[in-house]
Amino acid sequence: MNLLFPDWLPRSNTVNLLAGAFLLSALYAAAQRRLLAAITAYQWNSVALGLIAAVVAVVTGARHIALAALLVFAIKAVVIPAVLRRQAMRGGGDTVAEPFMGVPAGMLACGGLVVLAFSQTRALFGAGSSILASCLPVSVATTLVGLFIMVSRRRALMQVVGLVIVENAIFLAAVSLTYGMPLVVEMGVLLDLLVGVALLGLFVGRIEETLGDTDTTRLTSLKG
Amino acid sequence: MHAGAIVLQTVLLVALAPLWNGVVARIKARLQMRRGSPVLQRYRDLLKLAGKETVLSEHASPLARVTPYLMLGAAVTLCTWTPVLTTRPGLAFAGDLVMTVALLAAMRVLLALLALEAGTTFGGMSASRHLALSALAEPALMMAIFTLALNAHSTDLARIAAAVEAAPAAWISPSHLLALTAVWIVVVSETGRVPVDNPVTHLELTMIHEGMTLDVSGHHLALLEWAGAVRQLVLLTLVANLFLPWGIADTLEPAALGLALLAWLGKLLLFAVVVALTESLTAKMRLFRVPEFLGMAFLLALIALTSDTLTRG
Repeated sequence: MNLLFPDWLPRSNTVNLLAGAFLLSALYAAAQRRLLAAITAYQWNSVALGLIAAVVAVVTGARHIALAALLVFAIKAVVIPAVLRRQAMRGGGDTVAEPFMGVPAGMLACGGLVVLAFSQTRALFGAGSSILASCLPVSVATTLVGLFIMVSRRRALMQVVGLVIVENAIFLAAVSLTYGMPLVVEMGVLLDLLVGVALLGLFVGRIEETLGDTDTTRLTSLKG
Repeated sequence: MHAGAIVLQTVLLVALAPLWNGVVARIKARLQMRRGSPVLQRYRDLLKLAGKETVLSEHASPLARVTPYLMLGAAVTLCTWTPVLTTRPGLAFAGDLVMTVALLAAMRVLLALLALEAGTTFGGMSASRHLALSALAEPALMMAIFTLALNAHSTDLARIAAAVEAAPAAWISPSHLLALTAVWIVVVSETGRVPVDNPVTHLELTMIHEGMTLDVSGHHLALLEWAGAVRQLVLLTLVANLFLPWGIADTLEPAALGLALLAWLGKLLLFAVVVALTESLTAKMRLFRVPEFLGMAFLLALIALTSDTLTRG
């Protein structure tokens, strides 16, 4: 199967390095035991994403991508981390919860996922010459790393961090594949995300109130 | 590369090595609102040490006598083939990437033997920690630089630097940043800086690198400290010129060399600021967390290497 994608933007060092920073910050979040550090890593992840979108906007000259980049900065790099941080401080502060898998083993798993993502993306799409060549594998890899954060963590808020990292990765794929969806779609997605994070924050707050803890392994005790 | 250029870069590296430590200490002092000691303080310390009596146990083996000289010798040898100002291959027949890593390992073993030689508990403890961390750091360093070596089709350091510098826009892939991060973690650990080790600590139980030289005195200590500083500068130069080679000269013309010198000094100053900031902002890690930290470096280097080969094909 050979899918055709617009191959306008040549690979550039700036985008490649930013994609590297994007992947690196996701891996950093996966290696963290502390919630606040993971949220900071998500913030860097969003900043890298916003910068990639800004570069694409400058090169293509499309105004709606520039607006989308600004929205990414405002919502993903400022508002959502602030909401998450507030929730984290309310729910017992910066307490450490050991993940299901120890951090070194978890990092090894993440490494395997990244390699898998890179090899499979190449097998599916071939070696392109556009920014896709770096952005698409990175976005698939980051999606997998985000999912791994979601399944390997006990604390509910950490799982939310995993979710928003997955969302960032999908946004990166959208930006590099289509050079930006229509602005209405982008705004809708960002608004949905914001509402989603706010709702998840509320839910985490409720879990905290009911159980006195956000360790999701204890949720099963509701059954009894 | 002409003999003159090799001598010039060796002299530069050996002479400037203690200065870099002084600059970091100065920036750190400024960040802590202190005036700090002058940047040339390290040279004065070395001079003072050189003038002091060297105390050696009567049971000291010949190894203890020659190790400080061997250490400095190995460090100076490293300087001869590290690309500093120019990418013209010089002593490529004598030393490449693998030889560099091997010499670094040899220095480590010598230092550990020296620490064990004295027979004190702190020396032995520091030596065991030092070797344990090195065993983790060394493969990460090799993997990270191999990412670049694969693309340059050579393990010669000068050629790698030239290849990265001449790279077209499509060349620098995301894995470059991963490899750079990995190598930076290794350099932090190898030079014994926060968060792995604390270079100014006086608490023996927390020492790694300083603990090994506790029983050495006089000009032997001066030689060891100088060798350590040269080794550190060589590692930093490798990061500067292999991963960020922009500004390095392709020719041996004086103008290009002058520009390369400025670029090199600028990069070293940047590293000094980064190290001083890290040391001021982060706390030293628990020893048992350090293997995790170095394991991350290894993993990043591994990801860099595999994803690089996969995307390039």
